[in-house]
Amino acid sequence: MEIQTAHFGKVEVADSRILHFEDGLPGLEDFKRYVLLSNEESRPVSWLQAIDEDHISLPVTDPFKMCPDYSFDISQDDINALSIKDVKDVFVLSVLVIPKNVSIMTINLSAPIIINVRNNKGCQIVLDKREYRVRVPVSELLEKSGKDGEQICLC
Amino acid sequence: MLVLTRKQDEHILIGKDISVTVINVEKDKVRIGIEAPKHIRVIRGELLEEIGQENRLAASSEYVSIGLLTDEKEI
Repeated sequence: MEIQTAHFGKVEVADSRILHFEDGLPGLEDFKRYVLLSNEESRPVSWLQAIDEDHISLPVTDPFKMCPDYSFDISQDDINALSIKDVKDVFVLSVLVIPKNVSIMTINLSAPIIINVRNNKGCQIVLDKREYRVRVPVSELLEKSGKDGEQICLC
Repeated sequence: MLVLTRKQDEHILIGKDISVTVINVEKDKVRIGIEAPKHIRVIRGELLEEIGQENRLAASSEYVSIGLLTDEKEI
């Protein structure tokens, strides 16, 4: 199907690429279907675009690249809900907030999005861990991991 | 909503597996101990609200202001 997107114009999306969030995302419960969009220039940021509302598009990225020791447990309920058979099938994304001043971009390490790549079912889980905050400055993580900030943003 | 009065060290049971104990009460704070099976996720209520606000904020993220990103249509 062809959909209108927030940042990539009109995009043709094959059914096999549609991600199903049965409960939606917290704060955006009405939207259950998304597609992950990225291109050479956007990476390592991808955009989780709602299929049914062109204005809803959340920037996401691989948290393990920025925070190599990031780890969490997936509850049995979530394993069942997504029919996860093998942890290798789980794809993890963290939501970014990119303000006008991109140097203060933050990543939400408290609520990773997990997707079972075998069936494209996903959900956002909430970790109540003190060390993983909702609004972690990306610059802080890059400093910690000793990486060049330019890899993530040009600011 | 079911409202119960409990004293320090008293607990309530929810079903067979979940126990909520009042550890101590101090001014405007109550420390609560929760025992529940591992598959039950226990989180602070306001955290979920905060995540919701953060998601809505994320959805209004800037795109064009990031030099790294372009508006190419080919995905």
